[in-house]
Amino acid sequence: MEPERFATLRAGEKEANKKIVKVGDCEVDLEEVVRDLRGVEDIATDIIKEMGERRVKQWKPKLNILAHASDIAEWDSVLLNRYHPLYTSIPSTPTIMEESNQAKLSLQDTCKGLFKQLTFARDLLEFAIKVFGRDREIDMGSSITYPTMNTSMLTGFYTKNLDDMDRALSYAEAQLSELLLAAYFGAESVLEFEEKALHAGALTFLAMEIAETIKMCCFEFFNAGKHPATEYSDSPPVEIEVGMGTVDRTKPVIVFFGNNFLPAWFAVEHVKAKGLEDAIEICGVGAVGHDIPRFYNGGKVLTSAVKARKVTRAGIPDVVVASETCLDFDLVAEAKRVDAKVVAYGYKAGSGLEDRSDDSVEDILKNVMENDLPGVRITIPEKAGELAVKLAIAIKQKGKRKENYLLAELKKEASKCNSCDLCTQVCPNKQTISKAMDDVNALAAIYDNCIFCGLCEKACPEGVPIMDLIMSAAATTGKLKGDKYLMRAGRGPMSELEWRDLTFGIILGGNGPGMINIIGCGNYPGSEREVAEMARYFLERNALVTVSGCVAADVAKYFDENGFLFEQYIAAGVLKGLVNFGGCTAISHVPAAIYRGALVGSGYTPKANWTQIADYLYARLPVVVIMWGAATEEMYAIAAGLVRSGIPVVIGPSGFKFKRYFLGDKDDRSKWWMYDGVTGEKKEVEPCPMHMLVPVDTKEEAIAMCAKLLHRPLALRDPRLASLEAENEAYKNFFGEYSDDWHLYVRSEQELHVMRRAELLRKLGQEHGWEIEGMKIKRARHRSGELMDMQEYNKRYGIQLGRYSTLVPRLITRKDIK
Amino acid sequence: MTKAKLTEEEQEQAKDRQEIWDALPKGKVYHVPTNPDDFFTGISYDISPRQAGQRVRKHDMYCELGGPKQRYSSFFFIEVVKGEDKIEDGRVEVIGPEIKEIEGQSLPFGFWIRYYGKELTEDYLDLLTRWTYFALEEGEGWMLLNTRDTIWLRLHKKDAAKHDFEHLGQAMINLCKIQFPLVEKADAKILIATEDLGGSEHTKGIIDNVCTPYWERVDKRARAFSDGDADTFYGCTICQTFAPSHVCAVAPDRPPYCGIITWIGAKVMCDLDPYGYIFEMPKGECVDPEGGEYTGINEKIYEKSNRTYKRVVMYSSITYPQTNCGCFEAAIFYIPDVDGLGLVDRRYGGETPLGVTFSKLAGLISGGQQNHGYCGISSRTPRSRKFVRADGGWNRIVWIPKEYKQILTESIPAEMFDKIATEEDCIDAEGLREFLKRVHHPVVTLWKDGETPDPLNLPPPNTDWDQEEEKKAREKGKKVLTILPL
Repeated sequence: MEPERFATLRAGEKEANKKIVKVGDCEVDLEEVVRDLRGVEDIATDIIKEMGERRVKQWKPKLNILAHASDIAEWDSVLLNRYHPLYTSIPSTPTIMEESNQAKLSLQDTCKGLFKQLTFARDLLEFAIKVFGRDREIDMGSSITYPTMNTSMLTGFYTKNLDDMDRALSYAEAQLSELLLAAYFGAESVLEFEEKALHAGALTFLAMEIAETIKMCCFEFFNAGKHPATEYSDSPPVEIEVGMGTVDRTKPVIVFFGNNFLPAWFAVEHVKAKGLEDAIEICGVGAVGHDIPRFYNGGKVLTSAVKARKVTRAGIPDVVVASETCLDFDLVAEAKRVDAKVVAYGYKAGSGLEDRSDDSVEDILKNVMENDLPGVRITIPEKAGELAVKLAIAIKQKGKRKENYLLAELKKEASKCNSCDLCTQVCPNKQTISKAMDDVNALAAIYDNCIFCGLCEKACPEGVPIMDLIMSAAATTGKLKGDKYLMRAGRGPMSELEWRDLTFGIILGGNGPGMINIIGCGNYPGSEREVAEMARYFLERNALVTVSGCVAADVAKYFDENGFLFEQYIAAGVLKGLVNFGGCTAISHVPAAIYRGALVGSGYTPKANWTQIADYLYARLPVVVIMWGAATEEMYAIAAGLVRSGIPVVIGPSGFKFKRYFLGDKDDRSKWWMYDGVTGEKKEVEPCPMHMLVPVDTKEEAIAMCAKLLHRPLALRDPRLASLEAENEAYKNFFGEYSDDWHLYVRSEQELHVMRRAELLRKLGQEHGWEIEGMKIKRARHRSGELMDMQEYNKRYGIQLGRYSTLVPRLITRKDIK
Repeated sequence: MTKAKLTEEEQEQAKDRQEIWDALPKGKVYHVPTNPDDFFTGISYDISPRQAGQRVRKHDMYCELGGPKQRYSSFFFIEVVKGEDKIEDGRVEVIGPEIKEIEGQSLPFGFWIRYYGKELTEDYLDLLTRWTYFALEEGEGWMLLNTRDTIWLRLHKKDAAKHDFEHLGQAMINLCKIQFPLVEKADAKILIATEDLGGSEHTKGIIDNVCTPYWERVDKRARAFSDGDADTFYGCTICQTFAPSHVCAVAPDRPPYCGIITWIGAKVMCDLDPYGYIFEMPKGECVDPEGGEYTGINEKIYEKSNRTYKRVVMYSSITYPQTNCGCFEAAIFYIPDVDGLGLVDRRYGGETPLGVTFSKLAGLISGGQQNHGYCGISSRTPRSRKFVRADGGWNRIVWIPKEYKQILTESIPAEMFDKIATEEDCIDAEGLREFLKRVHHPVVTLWKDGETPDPLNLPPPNTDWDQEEEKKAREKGKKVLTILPL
């Protein structure tokens, strides 16, 4: 009797408390839409209303409002089952570990990347709230209709003001705690750990987006959203100077290091207030280097974060301003070598300096100059900025500083070398240093490939200042002066309007192969050139190429008879456009741009609707990310976030240091299928995108892999031609032969490029057993081995062009409501 | 479609053309490959979409053909020849100097390309031209501007060594052949009109006597060809990949709103690519000639929209308009405050009289819905003679952004041009009402006493109209349409 009574009571209660939202003539029970409605009813109601009757009738809505990892398992399991994580050995562990332990480490690494971004976003948000108040409105400009998409994908709302941002960030912080618990004490399965790692990746994008949005909406960073589309082709202009040769060292020079731009912002404010723009050099390295030009076009980008030491060894700065950073070297000691002073900003970058935040700028200045202190620590950005400017001027007035690279003196040092070759052994870029010691030109050649990591100096038993030697050789041979280039400042978000244009080029038509996004920071020989060459390769083939993070400055260094790469291509987010999104946090514009693309086409809500958006763009949009250079924890987390969005990632060079990959097995036919979106029938499709996270070794492999990963099962006729031609051309050019599986992407002779058509048809006939008649395919060889006519082949293999299809059972159009 | 029998005028013209063709000075004759396997053998320059749109500046120029310096007296002429025996397949004759002999020069020229195919007619001229063009438009090193008798070519210095006229001729005719199997035979004459070959006088003579009469005749017929002349329309479900219930019907007078194909293009695509996304739509019986509603189209729409939509009125944006996916270039929207229609394209970033931007509006009406009162269109749709005819045609249009209005100048009836407001006149409802009254816009006649607008009661998306209300909507359309502008 009891259970029955409870059951009826419960059912009755439930009936009475039903939360019904009416859209058109359709009733939606919110309890069925959200796992736990408590506290988020208002958000859920808004989203369902916005979704509208048609959508609610087409699919059963499911919202992941303020999502936990498992709320998006519906989608993650699709990915993880198709691309089972593959672990490679971890250098610091001698034995091969259990997969689940490796998965746990993988989650730990992703969490590290996440909390680096979270702390920065939190710092910035706290400061912005202090200055502007919680009600400060977030206005992305009239060219952006859908504003903070990385955030809304997880939380269910756009952040309209700083208070909303606080709610979103607190959510992310709580998620981090939950994830860390699993990462250190969890006993999850491999896939559960990786599901959480994907979640940490998605949260990293939320944190980056919050920081990026505050930069644009509170600190006047250049934001394309506030400009009309007519300006995009040449905006911001190619005017930002890049490289160490751009610095006029007769002026006081401040160099900002690290991730936090606030001291630089206030330094520039001070410079502008005093009219000192022409009298002082404001430079940056790494993330802050790319931030400064977005609010001050006199700002100069010296080099990428991994090569930061180059700048101090060249003796460029009078004052070094440091904030929390992705570099690990003793900045105070480095500054001291060239007689520069350090202003360490924030609570995190201590550097062992005295905290003088409570004193007046004048007192600190006097104190530092008179007592020749190495530097101070300041936790208030206004003060740090003003102090940096005044200190630089004072140092310059005092007279000549030590020059650190007098070759003659250094020669004596070099003679201590006993050719033990330890330096060469430890060099991550395999430079034969000891053999070059007494040859200026050989040393200068090493300079081109040196990231100034300092391992050689540490290893040298004779204490030879190897990096100084290399730097002096570079200066003597004119390489420092010649390090002088131009780029565009970061532009912030890509608008819906640009996607509308791009849609015609890469979704409906095949004028370009797709959207290629290059991110990362180079730390190996030739990186600058390689990154630029990859960008150029795809630009020449009509792709849209975007860069964000330190790679932008590397791409800037490409120069040929037609000028700099940034001068040769327009800045709009369209075919043959080269877009610089901005410094590290601007990587969040990559998925945001693509979410906008999904919206422009489909109208699906980007609010707490992860599965549907990811399902949409994974199977349709030809978008790939190339991650080039240092494999940091941030990059690890970023890769996870991109993969979860359905964007394949190629990592290199020597990408094998990444430890975990998501590779697909093209030969396992059971893995490659989709549901017909109307009938629900399960259909075999092409094995694409073949991988979601894949390592490559060289530039050529990266280009070819990137081209291969542009295939999509739901691509239409012309884009199919474009991606197949991209792959075939790259394989033929770089490796001399076509891939062993290109024929798996052919469903009609119309998809074969005209210049190659006869050759490819012949190959289909001779090598793959198809039946060819004239310039037409008569019968195709199905993967089962059967030979069949084209009608049958198109029915049995792949999705009919234009047919709505999905990987998620819930997203098969529903039959229960009509 | 073209009748099999040639008219007397056509026969006369064909005879004249053949005579002029035969009388051209003798040049060097090549026989380019006619076997598909070797179509591009020997061509050493790249032809692909990535080469499209190249500009060659003056100081990068190796040579120039046609263009303003020659006062455009050059031609790119494609002819469909009747009679298999008239053409020697693969014959390319180069009359005048080769590329390597004209460095630094600017000369008038003519490309005369002839195609034959049992089923080939002049209706395909645009497509034949497009595919032949690829050799130049997507050819490495070439800059191509304009068409027909305003064509202008430049060749880039860095690529000049890869080019000669023999291979250009080969590329042109073989690109067309590989794309379009209806072409069975092709030949070409390439005339580089140096002074001793008669210069621009020569090319001009050919333009006047051969090209212009031909183009005039073909264009005239194409213009006359309308919905009534076609038994079959074409449907496209390219966008169902993300908008499961969306179907587009393509008719001679109604290009799809993405703007990427035309009725004739759809017809060819349907033949060439039978497993693609374009299918035939037999139009059946015409229910409403003004609005463009057909029984056959309705049936096919119902079937292809997965049984979602039963009716489409092709030339209305108010009652049962076509569904929208998301990729339209422009949109029409009903403005209840004045009972008129606004038109906005995607380049315009500001607000419309509805209080939303194009992006926002597009977001609201996309996704494969039938939105009564709203319709996405191609930016070229307004050029159709049946543009929103059921709603009153141009007489119902009250607002267009300035830049778009300029572009549409030729399509807007002259007497209506100044009666249509732009963002510079007004954006708000009150201002728009005042404006329309001031210019005596035809919609004002729909207002109560010519003072107070009496808006339609639009049903929500995807629902049927109340019959009375639909009747009222149609009558309003008819009334405005027949009004002579005041």
